[in-house]
Amino acid sequence: MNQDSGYQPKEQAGTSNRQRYDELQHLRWQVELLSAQVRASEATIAELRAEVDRLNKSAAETATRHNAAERQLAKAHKLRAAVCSLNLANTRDQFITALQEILANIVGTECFAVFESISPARMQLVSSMGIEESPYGTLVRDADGTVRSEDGTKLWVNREEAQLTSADYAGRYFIPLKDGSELYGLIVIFGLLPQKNIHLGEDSELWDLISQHASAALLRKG
Amino acid sequence: MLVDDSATTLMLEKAVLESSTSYDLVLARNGEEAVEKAVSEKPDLILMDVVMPRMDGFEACRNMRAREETKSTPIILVTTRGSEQDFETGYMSGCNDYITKPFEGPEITTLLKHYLGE
Repeated sequence: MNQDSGYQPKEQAGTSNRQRYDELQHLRWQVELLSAQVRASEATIAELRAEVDRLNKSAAETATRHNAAERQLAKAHKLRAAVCSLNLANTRDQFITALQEILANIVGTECFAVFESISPARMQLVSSMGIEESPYGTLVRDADGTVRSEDGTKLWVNREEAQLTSADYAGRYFIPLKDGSELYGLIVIFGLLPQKNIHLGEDSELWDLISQHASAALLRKG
Repeated sequence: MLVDDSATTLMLEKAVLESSTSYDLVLARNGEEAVEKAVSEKPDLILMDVVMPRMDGFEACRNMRAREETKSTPIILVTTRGSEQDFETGYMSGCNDYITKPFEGPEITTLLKHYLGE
């Protein structure tokens, strides 16, 4: 038989099978090695993904804390500026100006009135911006704590805290100027600037602080 | 440079910037003083109120834009006036940006750092 018939001597064919077997074994070994490497890589990738998730979560938490800290700092600056402004006023006029600036620039209103108690039953308008003053020249205080305008309209009911909610009072907000339970005056905010959003926590702290410090300053300057 | 007729606002802006930046601050209390100090002090940026005595923020802005020394100084107007008409008047007067009061501290510092290329 010649070579074209496909015949090969036995010894040559055996060697070839052995080689193929060895090659096959070698390939199996390589496959196992690669499989092990793939499994190791997958484990590493899973670990890295977990680390990335952890870092992302940590970064998000840091960003949240950073934002919260910045908000706290901004609030502290506002409170400080308001307190300094009120306490640096040496005269009654300076005090009224400081109060107006705080209301317009920090509280966010250009529509307000400031009243001062002149007797247990009456309050007098001392400053206003953006309102028709005539109905509010003098306010009458009833024994039950209700405050009325001159035309008899119920304006406000005396409460302990500054009121940021105004559902019962036609969009008005109130900052009582108090020292303990004694009411020395009242700030009525008839409307906030359109761009001003109420932040209950922050604003209530600012308004409470104005309430305390403005009443103290009002007493000193009175 | 900080420009406002309100001592309370100047105090607040100063406190915000001093706590988060190391800028040297120049203060002015009205538009006229702002123009004078803008020319003499050559600030990197001007943060200016609109409603002020003697010369308002819009007029001061136009005045600064007409001067060689201040024509390219970034000017940010800060005001309680937040209507579209006011924004338009502000931009027509030549301001670079316009923010409304009451502002938050981070809002101001972010904007300033943007205009100062930080």
